[in-house]
Amino acid sequence: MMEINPDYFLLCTANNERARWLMHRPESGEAVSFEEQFRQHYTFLCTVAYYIVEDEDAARDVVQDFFLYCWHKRHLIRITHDFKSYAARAVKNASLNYLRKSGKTQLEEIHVIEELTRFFPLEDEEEEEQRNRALWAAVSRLPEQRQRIFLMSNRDGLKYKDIAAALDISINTVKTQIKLALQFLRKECGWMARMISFLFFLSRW
Amino acid sequence: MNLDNNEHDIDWEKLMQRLEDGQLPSGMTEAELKALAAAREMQARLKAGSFSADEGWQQFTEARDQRKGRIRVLVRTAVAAAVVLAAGATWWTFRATPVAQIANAQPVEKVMLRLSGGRTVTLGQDTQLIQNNPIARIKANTDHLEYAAGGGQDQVTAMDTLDVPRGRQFSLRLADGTQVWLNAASRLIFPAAFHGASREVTVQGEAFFEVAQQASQPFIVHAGKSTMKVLGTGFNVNAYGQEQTTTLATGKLLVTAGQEQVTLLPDEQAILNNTTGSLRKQPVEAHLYTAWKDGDLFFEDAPLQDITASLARSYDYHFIFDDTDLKQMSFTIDIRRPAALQDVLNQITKSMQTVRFEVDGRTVHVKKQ
Repeated sequence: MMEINPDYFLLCTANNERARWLMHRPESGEAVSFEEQFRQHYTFLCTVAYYIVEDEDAARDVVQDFFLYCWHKRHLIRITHDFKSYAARAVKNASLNYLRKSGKTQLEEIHVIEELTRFFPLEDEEEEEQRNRALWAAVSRLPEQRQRIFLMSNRDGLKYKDIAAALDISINTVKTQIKLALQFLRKECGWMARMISFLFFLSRW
Repeated sequence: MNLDNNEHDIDWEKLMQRLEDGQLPSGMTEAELKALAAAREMQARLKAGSFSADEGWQQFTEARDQRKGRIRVLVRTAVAAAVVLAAGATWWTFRATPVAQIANAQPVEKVMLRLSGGRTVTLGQDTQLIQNNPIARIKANTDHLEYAAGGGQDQVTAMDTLDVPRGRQFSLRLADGTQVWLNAASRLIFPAAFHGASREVTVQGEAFFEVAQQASQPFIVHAGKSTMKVLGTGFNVNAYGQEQTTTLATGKLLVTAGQEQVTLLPDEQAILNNTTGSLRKQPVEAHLYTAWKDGDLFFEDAPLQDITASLARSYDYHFIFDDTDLKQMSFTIDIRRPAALQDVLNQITKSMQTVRFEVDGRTVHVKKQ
């Protein structure tokens, strides 16, 4: 069982405002139903977890544990408009903890992954949605075969050799097509090309 | 196109391998790291379709409603002497200094185990082997005690007693495997080994039981005027106050008081009024009542006087309301139990700035700002 500690956000790093908010239960205010909240954010949070753990089942587990925690504390946590960014931070941390506990990932590597989380997800919800649309639009502009190979690899998680076998082509062709797709998509999705350069210091480890 | 990513700095073979097998090779260039971040982000975004909210919700509700196999109950009973202050504790106070005091004193009294033979052992310092004879083997460490049945066939009925003072908590594992958590100012009387038709223990104060299932030997808890018979469980007994509550977390429990009896199912609570003898039950959320055993401090819309009564037991302090109308002010608190009382007091002050706490030795005055 992976350990989630959203308390960290609520009580430790939290500023006084947050502690007060928890301690003194608000009497009024429209609360969105728990199920609504779950359905609204589940998919997004799974992608946040997946970005870090790179395993679909592990991502689902992390997000489910987070919601179980919220369920048990539902009398105390008043779910407000900033639930999404709170949840994203909690899930991000839980995912990194999962990596640390799984023992499969080296510490330096986790450090790099942690740095990468600056790029995704964005705080701005609208911008976040816009990027999803932009990516899919760019994918749709890929040549048909390249698009199919790219999605088999990056969306469906198939190995290069399995794609090669399925399409009856060579592994080198698969790799080349994916490489070309990645280069094209990165250029099409302008923000990826504009990523700021703080990664530089990491390149030395 | 203004690309500051030099594609020539990218070893695609290496990058493609990393994307395939998940290993992050060391010594990547900045351009490679950026390309990797981009590829990773694409993958995460494209995965959205794999995470169906319908399936997620279904899995979530199954996990949420899952009941564990064991019986878990919390029992609370009245302790008459609980309000007596630890005598001789005043040496600790720095009366000479006019500086405001901080409530961070350690509890004075020790956890004591009184064995049926008459020997008394002080617990809570080191790991120690207390007894190793044919009746039972007893081991202890700083906050936990373990009994294991000995090899002997003697039908021993004598009882051991564990006393947990104010300011402490302790857990123990009985000879049958049942786990018991004792809250501050509580006592458990129990046999070193269980023989006979039933397993019977007596509790004062507050305890949480996770009973090992043994159909042939029912587990019975005596608390004040009531008796709880475990029909297959975890439950909490709270008998500190005027009312005695028994809260069932999992399993099934029969609560008897005089002529009256109720059967509890999970998330139900039996309330016995010690004065009138009436016994009723109500639906509750069990985990709210068992938070203490997991090291949480939990109060929901509770009047300040109830909160301070509980803090007094947990931290071995004494509270005096200089302004009595503060007693009914209600608070909701849900935090990990801090080591020092001062941290709790700070939280309360933060949330409601009209309340002020003034510490004097082991006494805390509650005042208006």
